[in-house]
Amino acid sequence: MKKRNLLALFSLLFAIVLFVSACSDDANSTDSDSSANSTDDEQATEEASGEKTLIFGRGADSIQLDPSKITDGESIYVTNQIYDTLVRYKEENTEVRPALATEWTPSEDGLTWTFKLRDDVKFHDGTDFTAEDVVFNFERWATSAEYIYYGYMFGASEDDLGGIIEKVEATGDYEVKFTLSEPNAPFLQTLAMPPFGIASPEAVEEFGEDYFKNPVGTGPFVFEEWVPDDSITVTKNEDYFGETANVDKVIFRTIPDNGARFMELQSGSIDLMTGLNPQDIQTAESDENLQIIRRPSMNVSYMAMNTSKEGPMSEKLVRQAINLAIDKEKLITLYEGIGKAAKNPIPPSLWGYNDDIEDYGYDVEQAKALLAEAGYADGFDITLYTFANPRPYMPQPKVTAQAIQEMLKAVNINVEIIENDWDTHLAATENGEHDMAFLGWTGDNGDPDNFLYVLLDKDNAKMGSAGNIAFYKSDEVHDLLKAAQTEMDQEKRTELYLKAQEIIHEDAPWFPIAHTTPPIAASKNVVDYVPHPTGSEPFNLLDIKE
Amino acid sequence: MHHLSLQPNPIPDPNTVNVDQSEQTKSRRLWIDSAMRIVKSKTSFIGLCIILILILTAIFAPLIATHSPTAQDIINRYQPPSSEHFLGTDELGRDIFSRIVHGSRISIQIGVIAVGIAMIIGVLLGGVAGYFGRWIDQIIMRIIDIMMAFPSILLAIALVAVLGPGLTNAMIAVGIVGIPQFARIVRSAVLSIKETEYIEAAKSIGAKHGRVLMQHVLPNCVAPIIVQTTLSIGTAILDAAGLSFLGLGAQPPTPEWGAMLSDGQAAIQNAPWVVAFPGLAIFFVVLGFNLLGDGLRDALDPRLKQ
Repeated sequence: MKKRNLLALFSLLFAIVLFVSACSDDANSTDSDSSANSTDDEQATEEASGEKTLIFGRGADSIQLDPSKITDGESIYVTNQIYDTLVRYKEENTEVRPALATEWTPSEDGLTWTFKLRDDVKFHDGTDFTAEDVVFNFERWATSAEYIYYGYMFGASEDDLGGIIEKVEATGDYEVKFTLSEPNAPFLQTLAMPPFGIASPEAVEEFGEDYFKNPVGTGPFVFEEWVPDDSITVTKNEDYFGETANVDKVIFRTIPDNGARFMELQSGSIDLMTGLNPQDIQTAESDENLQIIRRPSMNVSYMAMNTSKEGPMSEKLVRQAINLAIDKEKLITLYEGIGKAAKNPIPPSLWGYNDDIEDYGYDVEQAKALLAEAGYADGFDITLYTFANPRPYMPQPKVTAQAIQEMLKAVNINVEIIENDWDTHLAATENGEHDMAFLGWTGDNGDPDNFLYVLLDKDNAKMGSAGNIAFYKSDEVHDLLKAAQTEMDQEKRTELYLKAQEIIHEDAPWFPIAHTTPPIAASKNVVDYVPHPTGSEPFNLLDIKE
Repeated sequence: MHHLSLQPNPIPDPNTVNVDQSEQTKSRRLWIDSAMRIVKSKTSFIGLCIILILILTAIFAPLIATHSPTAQDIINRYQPPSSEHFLGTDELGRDIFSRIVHGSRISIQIGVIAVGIAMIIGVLLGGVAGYFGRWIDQIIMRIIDIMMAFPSILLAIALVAVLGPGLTNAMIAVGIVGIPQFARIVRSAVLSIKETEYIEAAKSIGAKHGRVLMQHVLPNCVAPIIVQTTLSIGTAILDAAGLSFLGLGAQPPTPEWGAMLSDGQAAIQNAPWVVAFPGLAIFFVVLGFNLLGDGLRDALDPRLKQ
């Protein structure tokens, strides 16, 4: 009897261990085991057939593979492989290079842009790429507000779905002309953004609602398979007009837990991973089989305060008090050396950064005084929405949230932390359910407009598709940002952005947290991998050496 | 088949039935015997000690803890165990020892409330099913079968998903999940007890169903209920820790052991103490309840009486 009890106990223990490991692996432990085995097998067959597979581990699945409808980095990672844009960025910075378009000319007044297109490009479904396809795509994006980025970048709204793009016409088989209603300084930079990848019109029409699961572009990789929450597979496009990929296949595997993902990298079942726990950087650096690659910094993480909600968050004094009550220097230590404290919404690597602004600093007494002045001396209860998986700009959201919770307790603000999955978090914050929420942004085009207009202009404070989740509606800032968009002279634009940052600092819709240099851990076999500051890049240039 | 005369007087009405004095002494001796057996058995004594330590820790938590369980010291995060922090510090520089000590209160709370829910509902359902039999039995037990078809933690997760995350809801969910165990054990005990002569006697003098069930049948199921309760507390603590681990139970900054495990896992390679100690705490408490539960099962079995 006793013996059997002990046995039962041990099996219970075993079950705990199993349970815990299963959880951290998102119940994929058997899956990963088998894929670990199959990688070995694959490597064996790889050598035989010479096929190279890159397995990329990440924390969350893509939301859609139609880049025009999403803003999340995990979707863009994959669509970057499948689609091309008219122009693209240089490998290491945001300088614009030819892609589907070979040359372009703006008119004197900046209102029309003419692009000459390549005549040797085929979509993955075999159809030819022509000027009509460009027109089709731009017209499609101007049909509904669900094409989020189009709205963000071209000022489109429910009433004006086209935004500043008045007309897109094919002026020849391989020539396309854009007519704008006002000059737009970042226009060319914007066209290189992944959301404006050109899709095959045939495929869009064929798949309709399901197109986001069946993407067809012209890029270096062809979409093969998507197993939701598990993996996305793309294979090499042999007919790619640019540099044909060195690897034959890329598998994007979703492994939610950072630690588990890192262990898979250590064991060799994945080749490359994002979302490294900052604590693991040292371990990776001292591992002779691994390397740390640092992505150039062009991001910001912040805590947005929902200014549209009645109550404390609508008071400027309260928002300033929160800025004063959080010890940012201490908070940044939770970034374990990969982050620098932020005082502005745009990163210092970008032109137009206002370095004259003095951050609020940490001053509990002054915070209390401001709260008292606003009539909240006794404090209040408030929610802080955060997400479960780490993001490149915020490696430890939950821990960071708990630190802020504790710091705000000192000024009698009682924070309830609400943690959601990544896509639930995005939906909840776009709908303005939060009082305060964590989020971050990785620059898409190297223009301050892409941060300030997208994240803090009243045009983008629309419930349901908000980029401005502080719902900050300042007419003054709006006028400055619009002026900067239509001004073609960069010096004058800089002036306008400097001024806008001052007003934003004063109104304090955010508590800016950090700018990070996101680490990527990779096997030493991965070579020629150059991470792009915009957060993702096509994988045709990297290689795996045996 | 056996029934335990734990109740001093199984027969209802002192006017109609003589109270046998020796019967009372006998049942008192049974309790003493059982207690002696628990103390004598090494394993169940260890279990008892662990639980006593847990209870004392929970009562005197503020005196035992060396730091506040929620006070952060971010600069000193991930400190290994030292004389200042007996079990080291976690990802926010909180003292792990103090958090575990305060977490004992939450574990006891979970154990008592969740198992309380399971026991009250389970005993009533099982009692009614066993006593009345026929279609009532069929309906209740088929529902219980459906509940048992789900792995318990999965059912608990589903329930929390409906109720919303939080410690209270996690306790309710774990409680509901525990109902079938109680219902089945009580039902089978009731099935054997209801055929006994003293129940027949009670019925024959006109006692109503409710009275017979509540006063005569159920009190005689106490032994298996005690055993099941003790064993269930361990499981309940484990399940609730599992829910907290998944972020569905205790919310930050509550020092719940499962949540501590979950929060600390990022550092498992570099600061293993952050997960090791809450894990050990869960391990020992569950072990304690299981050892005691097994000991009780043996001790309360009259067949083992020497």
